[in-house]
Amino acid sequence: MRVLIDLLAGLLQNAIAPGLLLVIGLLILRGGWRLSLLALAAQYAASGLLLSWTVSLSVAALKWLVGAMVLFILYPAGRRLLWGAAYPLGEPATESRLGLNTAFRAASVALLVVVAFGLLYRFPLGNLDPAILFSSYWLLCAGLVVIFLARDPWMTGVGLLIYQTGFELLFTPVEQDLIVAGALAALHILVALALAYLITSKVAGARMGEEG
Amino acid sequence: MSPLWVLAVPFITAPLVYLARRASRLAGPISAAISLGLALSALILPWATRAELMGWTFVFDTPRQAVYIVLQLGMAGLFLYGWRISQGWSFFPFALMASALLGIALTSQRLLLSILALELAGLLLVFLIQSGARERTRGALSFLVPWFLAGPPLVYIARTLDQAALPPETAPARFIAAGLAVGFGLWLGTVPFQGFPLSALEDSPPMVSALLLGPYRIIIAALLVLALAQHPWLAADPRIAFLLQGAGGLSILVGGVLALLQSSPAVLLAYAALADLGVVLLAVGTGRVDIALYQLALHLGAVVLLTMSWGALRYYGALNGHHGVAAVANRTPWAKWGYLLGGLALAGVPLSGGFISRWALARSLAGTSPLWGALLVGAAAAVGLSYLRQLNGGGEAVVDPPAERWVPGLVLALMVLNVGLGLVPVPLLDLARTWAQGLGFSG
Repeated sequence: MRVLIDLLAGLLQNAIAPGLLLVIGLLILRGGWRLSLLALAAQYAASGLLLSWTVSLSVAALKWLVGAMVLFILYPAGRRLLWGAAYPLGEPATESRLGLNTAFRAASVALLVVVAFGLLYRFPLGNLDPAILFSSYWLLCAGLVVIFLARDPWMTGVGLLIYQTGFELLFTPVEQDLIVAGALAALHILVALALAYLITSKVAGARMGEEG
Repeated sequence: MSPLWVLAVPFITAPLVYLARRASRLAGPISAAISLGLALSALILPWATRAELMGWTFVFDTPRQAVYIVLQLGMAGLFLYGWRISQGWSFFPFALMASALLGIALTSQRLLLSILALELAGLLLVFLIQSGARERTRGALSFLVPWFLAGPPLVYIARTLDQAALPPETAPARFIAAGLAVGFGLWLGTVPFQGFPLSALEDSPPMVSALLLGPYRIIIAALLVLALAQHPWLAADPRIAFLLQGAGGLSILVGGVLALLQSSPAVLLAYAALADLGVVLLAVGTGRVDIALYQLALHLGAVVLLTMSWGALRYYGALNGHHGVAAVANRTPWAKWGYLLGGLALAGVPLSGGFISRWALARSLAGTSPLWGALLVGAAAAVGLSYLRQLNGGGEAVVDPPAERWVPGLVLALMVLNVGLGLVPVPLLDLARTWAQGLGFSG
């Protein structure tokens, strides 16, 4: 198993950070539930692979397991409630609360890339691989921007999950205790559950409002 | 029996309570009995000891024991209230889980685990704030985002603090001091983060507001005190003292001034609690940890009394088609007086317990500047006046409140407790002094 993971990580070594940059950048530009889930899947897969270079495989595999559970929780909420035929609230997250257009979002993404590279240059923490560091800084910054541009619970929650994953890429190599790893995993799952709950509650409340 | 059981019981029982969540007549008493049982266990179990679990140490010393007992008694009161006036189906199991996480946060020797447990507890609160099918999610989201964003920096800082004794005048030490101040300030909702809990309080059922302003804030403030006790260089750092005094003073000022301008009971509660919390921070910053611990216990009593009375007035008012607290006040004198007494206790007016701590603080700070005394008196007067004003006007109740004994009984018991603590403050003050000395603080 370890050999396979190492092989995969080696093959993708130079592709993981650019891939994350591309997918999360697209998410900031376009929004939408499918792209959100794709971005989350990509970030969990990438974070597991990146961490497998520095920590034990079991800790890295926990990220994949958590990612699978988060997607399992969020997929029904996204598909059936948020953008399904029964959803009464329209398509959210295609534009920001400020009515900002794609050009602004593109400029944000470009600025974020510069900030992430700047952080990589300014804070080259410890012995961490530059790919891990860049991915971490990128996810932290991108998560904050996704939250800032969000106008609904869905994108806010997705931004929080991206931000938390960015932090864990930095933190997991220095603290690999089982209880801490479990607590961090529980944070992801609770955020996903809270997100699904808020969306369900919002939709049910809107339906009740329409009927009442 | 290992004291770890005290921490484990709410985790084990919460799923059972979850199964019974739609039957509040069952879930309410069970949850209250669990919390009362835990408070009793904490009292009679052989504490002043340590327990290990998977390499993590949990400390059960006298100050933590006292805070834990106060926490569980407060939770029992909230559960008993929720049994009679619904706070949402998810209230009992999620609040039980939250109390378990708060217990872990309090007793963990390492700050890292405490912060993680608190962050998880905050996420549980999101479910309670939303509490059912509502199109509006602003309150829950406005709580979730800052709470969650503050978590990772605090986790990193807590780990750094746990790992090494830092020399005070170095860059990492300065970073830790600033990070701790910002992170704890945000979680406590002090100035300049006072807007953070407002939407959540407006959208929450009253007992969830009580949970946020009572047990959560008490555990966060207790953790701040414990962190200072465990890392004496932090307590000795003049920058930390300055930050605490500054945040405390500004919170008292902003809380008092903004309380005067409010008509919404939820927002008034937020600012009154902010001013009261400012007293706690000012006491810690001044080195009067005994006053801070005393004030924390009073804060919980006043917040629970106030929210219970407010909740009753709101509930009975809604039965009459009114939304203000004054609408049914004359038909429910126990709730009216409970609301007023709770507000005045939170304000810290003379004859309340909070006045004693303000008086002691003003005397401690008199040598620095007489303005501190004026600030404490002015804020107390502003908050007190705001509560007096709240009960003026309103509609005329048509429907009598339902015959009910539990909720008036709870409110009356809390009124007696609050008045008693104001008239006979010495035993609690002595206890607080003992706890502070147990933590290594002189005052």
